[in-house]
Amino acid sequence: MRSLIPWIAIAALSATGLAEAHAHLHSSTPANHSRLSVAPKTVTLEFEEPVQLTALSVKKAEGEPQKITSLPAAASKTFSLPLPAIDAGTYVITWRAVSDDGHVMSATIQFSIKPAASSATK
Amino acid sequence: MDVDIASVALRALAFAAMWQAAGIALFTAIFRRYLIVSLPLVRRVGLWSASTAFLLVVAHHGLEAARRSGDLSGAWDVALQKQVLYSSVGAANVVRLIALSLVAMGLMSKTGSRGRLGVLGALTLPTAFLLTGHTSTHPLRWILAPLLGAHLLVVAFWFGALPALYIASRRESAATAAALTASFTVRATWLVPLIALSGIGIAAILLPNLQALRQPYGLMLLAKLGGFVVLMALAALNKWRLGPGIATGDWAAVTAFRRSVASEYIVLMAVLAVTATLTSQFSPEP
Repeated sequence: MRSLIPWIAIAALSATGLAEAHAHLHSSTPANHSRLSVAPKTVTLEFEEPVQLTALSVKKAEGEPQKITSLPAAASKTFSLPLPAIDAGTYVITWRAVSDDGHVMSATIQFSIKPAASSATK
Repeated sequence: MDVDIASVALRALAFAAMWQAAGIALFTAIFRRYLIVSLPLVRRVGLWSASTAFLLVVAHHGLEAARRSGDLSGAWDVALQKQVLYSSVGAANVVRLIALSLVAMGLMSKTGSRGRLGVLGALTLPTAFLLTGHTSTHPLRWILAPLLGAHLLVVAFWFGALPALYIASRRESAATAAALTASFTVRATWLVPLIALSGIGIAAILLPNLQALRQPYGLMLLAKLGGFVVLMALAALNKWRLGPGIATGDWAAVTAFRRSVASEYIVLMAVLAVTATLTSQFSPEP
């Protein structure tokens, strides 16, 4: 056992680390559970720390998800990406991102679109 | 198939195979003189574990791109695979594969000098876990790194010892098996509590407050602690009652000892499964 001690010390001292922290979503536009009168043209995600966005999709309630491709390769705290044309209804945006410590995070953002009814003229 | 579930399952199996391989490399180095008849079989089990772990690490690495995309098609995405390879996850997996290769080379060797490669591999394996995850990025990583390293090394020592002790209790003479068990118990008595101490130290640093123990991450930590308490009870049973009975050669005592060792193995597997889930899916921060 004593002969193992130098090797244990070498293994312990060889530990290295990175500099960033595990990140969380700070805010989004559209916001989660928001009700909109006009369909948004973009989705904006703001994280607490830089992350790599690896997947983004939007789907209507019971429909198939539409993947949003051409995601930025570089890590960032803010992502603003165009949404496909969508009409009235309830939608779910699903995102996945990787923080600097290698953890894969994912979450969903739900929002609904209901155009404002035009007011009757007197 | 849910890629997150598949990833956790692969990770849990990889943990078990990795620590068994590393632990057997350490066990054969430390207790070689007691493995008179059982050494070849113990080495074969270790070698099989290292090979299986190697394949599982490769498979888990390949699945990581799928996890990042959210579905299996991501595994075929070249850009995502490159992203994984050049990330801290990729670096950690490369270190794991190198360490497992050293473990395998050491276990294949019949001489003591090359056998040290197995020990080097076993000591290198925990460092892979310091390259990624919460421990790698925390401001107090200079405390977390040695705590995690010690935690994993002793887990390997314990987990690898179980199949070796089981095999030795079947194949060695009563006197040799009893001497081996006693020698292992002396070391384990001092080392195994380090698992809990280092684990509690890591939790104290990573958890923001006591309320975090009510969140999924904290509840899983408590489950691990519960598993450890069960393991300590089984270990105490082996130390005080079942282990000493082996020397008599009494068939009932030896059978009871083997059953207890097998139970420890199952509980440790469950704890590793919880660890794989915890470290893949949850965060200490709420």
